[in-house]
Amino acid sequence: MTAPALQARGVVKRYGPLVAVAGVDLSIAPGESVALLGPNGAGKTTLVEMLEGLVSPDEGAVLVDGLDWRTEASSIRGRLGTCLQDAKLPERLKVRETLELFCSFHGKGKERSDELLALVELDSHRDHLCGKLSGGQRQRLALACAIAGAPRILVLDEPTTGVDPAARRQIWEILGHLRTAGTTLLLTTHFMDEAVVLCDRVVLLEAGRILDEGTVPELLERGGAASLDDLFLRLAGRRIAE
Amino acid sequence: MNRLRGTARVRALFLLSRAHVLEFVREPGVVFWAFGFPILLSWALGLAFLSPHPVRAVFLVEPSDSAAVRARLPDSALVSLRAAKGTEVLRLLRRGEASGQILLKDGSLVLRADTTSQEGATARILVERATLAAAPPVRLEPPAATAGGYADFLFPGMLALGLLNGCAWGIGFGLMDLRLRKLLRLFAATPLPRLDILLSVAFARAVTLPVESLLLWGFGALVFGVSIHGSVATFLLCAASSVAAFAGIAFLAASRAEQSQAAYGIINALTIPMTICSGVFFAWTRFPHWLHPVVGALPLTLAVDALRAVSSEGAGLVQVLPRIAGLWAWGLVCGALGLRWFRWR
Repeated sequence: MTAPALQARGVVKRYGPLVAVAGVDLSIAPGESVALLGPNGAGKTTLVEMLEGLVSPDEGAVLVDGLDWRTEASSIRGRLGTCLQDAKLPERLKVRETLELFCSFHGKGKERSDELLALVELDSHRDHLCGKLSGGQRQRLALACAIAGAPRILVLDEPTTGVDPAARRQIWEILGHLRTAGTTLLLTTHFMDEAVVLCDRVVLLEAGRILDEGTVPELLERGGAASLDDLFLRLAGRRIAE
Repeated sequence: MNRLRGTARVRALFLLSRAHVLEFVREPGVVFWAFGFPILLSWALGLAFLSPHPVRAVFLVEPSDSAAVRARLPDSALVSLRAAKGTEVLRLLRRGEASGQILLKDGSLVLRADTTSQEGATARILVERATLAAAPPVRLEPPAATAGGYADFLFPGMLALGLLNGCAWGIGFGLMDLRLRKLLRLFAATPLPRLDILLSVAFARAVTLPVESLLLWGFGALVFGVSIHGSVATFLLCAASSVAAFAGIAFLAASRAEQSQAAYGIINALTIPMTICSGVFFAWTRFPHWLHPVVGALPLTLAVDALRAVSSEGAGLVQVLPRIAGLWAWGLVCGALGLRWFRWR
């Protein structure tokens, strides 16, 4: 039996008195594409950071391809690509220098960085400083850096936040290619259409717990909502009321 | 690829170190503060304290006493009198435009000056010398060498201060900035070993710091004739030990900060007190005796004293060894604590 690409087993994370993630079980199959939805403060970023190995859970375990982060960190890092929310790429490095740098982290050379420049359509901007790129271009470069090592699993924390609709479509296209190529995707997003377009399954997170999970039609039926937006607004509304 | 090994690891480390250097040199503001400002400051201090004109003290006299005082203390190459009264006296003294006030009381000259300061003590000597008309004049000769001048005192201090600032801002603030921009997390999520991420910041400084230091010392040598009277190898060892201490401290300072205000505060708290206390601009022995054990053990004090001992006094390795050991102790202890507490996110 194939091990799940990503697995969280009863993970708990506390920051002082705040319980950011309160016992989450999540399993994502190889090649599956999953969206993590929830209002601000639901624990999405903390859960993603635990899956990326950046934060250790206080309880439970996180496994990547069946390997435990606690004991196999160095083996896991090459399998996982990470695109962080609001990460700022080195502003005074040129685009090609940045990509060559990230490719080198995975033992890959110039050929790979040229390939990525073409994939994210930044070939004509290769000698521009990262700080001079538009929001959409910057996000595409961040995505290229995340897939520099041709990872089997890609974790994206709000990959299209702050970019214009055209740039969003471009990022969706790239993610679509990766998905077709069999890359496992986990993404957090506030855009319901993004979850619908890119993901096989949606996980709803609220107050550090999984509220529900399934395909979009399943969730809508169970939640009695007309759209994911409605479902999300109900969740957010409940939090505001509390 | 899971683990980065061999030449691939060296290449990644090289490219990351190069990236830090490129980010540094492509920022004109940073380049000015790192390379230009220490030279400008040293030049200004050198000009102020290495004036080619001999010391001439100005003393204030009451206009009504002026003639009587001038009769006993005529203007000379060393002493000049200026008539002033009332609030004008206080104003001129506060501005540092006069060294003291000379009064005539019961037919005697009275010098009113703060003789606990170096300038006051000099003023007293100058007045006493000028009033001793019968004493034989002192014969003056130019010094045999420039050694002992303020530039010889200043430049080792400025060099040590440059190394401290280079490490505090380059390594300490650099790491905090990487954390604040989430780049530290991004790098840490790749197969590049975390130790290499930290080393890359240090290697980048290992490129820029020698350039900064050479420019400063070269300027001192060219303009003010500063030279190293001891062994150059010992001098370099002192500089390297200073960098080890400052790098460890900077690393510890950078280990936890999560906000930019905290980052600036930490670096300023680290550098400003030592800049004032550690004998860069004046001898730290001028502080009260009870403070000497504390000030003397500060890493910048150890660095300044070691560099100055070799360059100005020609001290050998054995004489500076305790200070070198102190510097390494600072570096290793702080570095180990920083590594233990370091936060990647």
